[in-house]
Amino acid sequence: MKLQWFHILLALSDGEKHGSGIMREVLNQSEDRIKLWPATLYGALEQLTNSGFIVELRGSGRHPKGQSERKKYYRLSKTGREALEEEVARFERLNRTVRLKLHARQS
Amino acid sequence: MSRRAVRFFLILLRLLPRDFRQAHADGMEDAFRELLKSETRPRDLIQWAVFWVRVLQDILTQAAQTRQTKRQNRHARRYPQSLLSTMMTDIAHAVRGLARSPGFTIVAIVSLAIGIGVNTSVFSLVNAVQFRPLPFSAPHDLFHVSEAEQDCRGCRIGMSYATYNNLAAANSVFSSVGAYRETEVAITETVLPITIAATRLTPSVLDILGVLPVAGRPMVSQDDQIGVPAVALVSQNFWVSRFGNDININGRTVSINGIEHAIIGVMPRSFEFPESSDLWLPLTASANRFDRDERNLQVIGRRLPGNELAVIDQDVASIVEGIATTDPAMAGKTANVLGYRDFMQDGISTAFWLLLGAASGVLLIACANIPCRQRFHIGYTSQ
Repeated sequence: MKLQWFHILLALSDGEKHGSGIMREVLNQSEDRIKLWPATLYGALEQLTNSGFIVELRGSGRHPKGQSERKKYYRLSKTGREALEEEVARFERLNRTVRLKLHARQS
Repeated sequence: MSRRAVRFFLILLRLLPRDFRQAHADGMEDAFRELLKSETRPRDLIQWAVFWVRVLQDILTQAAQTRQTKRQNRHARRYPQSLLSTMMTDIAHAVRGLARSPGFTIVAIVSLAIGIGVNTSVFSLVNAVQFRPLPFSAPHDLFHVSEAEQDCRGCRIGMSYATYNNLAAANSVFSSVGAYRETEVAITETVLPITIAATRLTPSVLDILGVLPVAGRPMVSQDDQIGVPAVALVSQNFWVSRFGNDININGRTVSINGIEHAIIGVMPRSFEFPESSDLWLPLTASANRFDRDERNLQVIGRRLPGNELAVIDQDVASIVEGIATTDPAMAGKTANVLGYRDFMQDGISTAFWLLLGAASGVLLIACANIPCRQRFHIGYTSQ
């Protein structure tokens, strides 16, 4: 999975967000290291939507109260959450492997 | 500053494919404003320059990627993986194409129809002649015998009654031999006589062919003697046209050439011997029975088991050549034997194969014609 995708899914994991919200969240959670530029952001959002990982909420009346209806909101789908968890598990396995390897070399 | 920047950004968005731009323009504008608001916003000229380069790079990268995805989708739509859906796509494509050009479709269908129709009819003809067994019992054991010239064994000239008699008496290869002659007779019951096709045959012919009448009795060996009551076998068509569905043939007569003949039997509908005979009369030994130059008979024999064509031919030829040495009327004559099917198809066989070949050629041309026309047609409409 692309790192950008992973970060977008992660950004949506605690609730639905619109485009610029996702951008801000990704920037925060990656400690300013991953900045999603507008076209890249929406390209990724479109691909994630087509893959069924996220759902677009515009016009469905389910966007959070007090926000403009013009903005598109995105929510993590069940598949998306599974994919995210799988990816996290993979990272953890990788992490463990690397630690063991490095630890063995040090000792 | 920021308003101008947004306006410039919106212009740059035009580099993206239209549907992507239309779907996400609002969101991207929003995200762009967010960029300008954040603490990472550019502050001096160099930072602005770097910023715009990054924005442009972002847009161009995304534009290329969207276009490629679109191309892949189109390709996947055009060439789907499953065989069935591929086929359905092809069929739908073909149907649309045909519907779009009815003129071409009609020409294609008509030329195919002609090609297939010609083939079907010619093949059913060839099938009837070449492949279907003759409607006689054990047709492979039937042979046709004819006199021929010694210096031209393929020149078949028929057989005289006298020679037929010698052959019937002397041969050792046939279990039975019979002779027949196609003729025409007049039905003399009405004021104006009707002429119909008839065949005179020795009673043995029906034995040899192994065909029995559907009603009545076959001819027997007494029937062809001189001085016995005249008898006739009739075809089913002939019977029905005269007597309807009456199945009682006792006492029925037919007047042929002014002589009352008793109808002794009705032959089955499938019995077409030779082709279009409606009457079968006994072949009586007439006054010219000793005339060896009157070669007007067809002679047919059923072989004894185990005799090959070459053996039969040899035997029959030696009998006829034996007569030729003693009888001046037979000088230079021999005999020629053919399998009965080969005799029936004599000469026709090649013609039929040629006809079938030609018909196949027509179908082939019709088939080849269509792609050519289609190519021309497509070329024509796309210009």
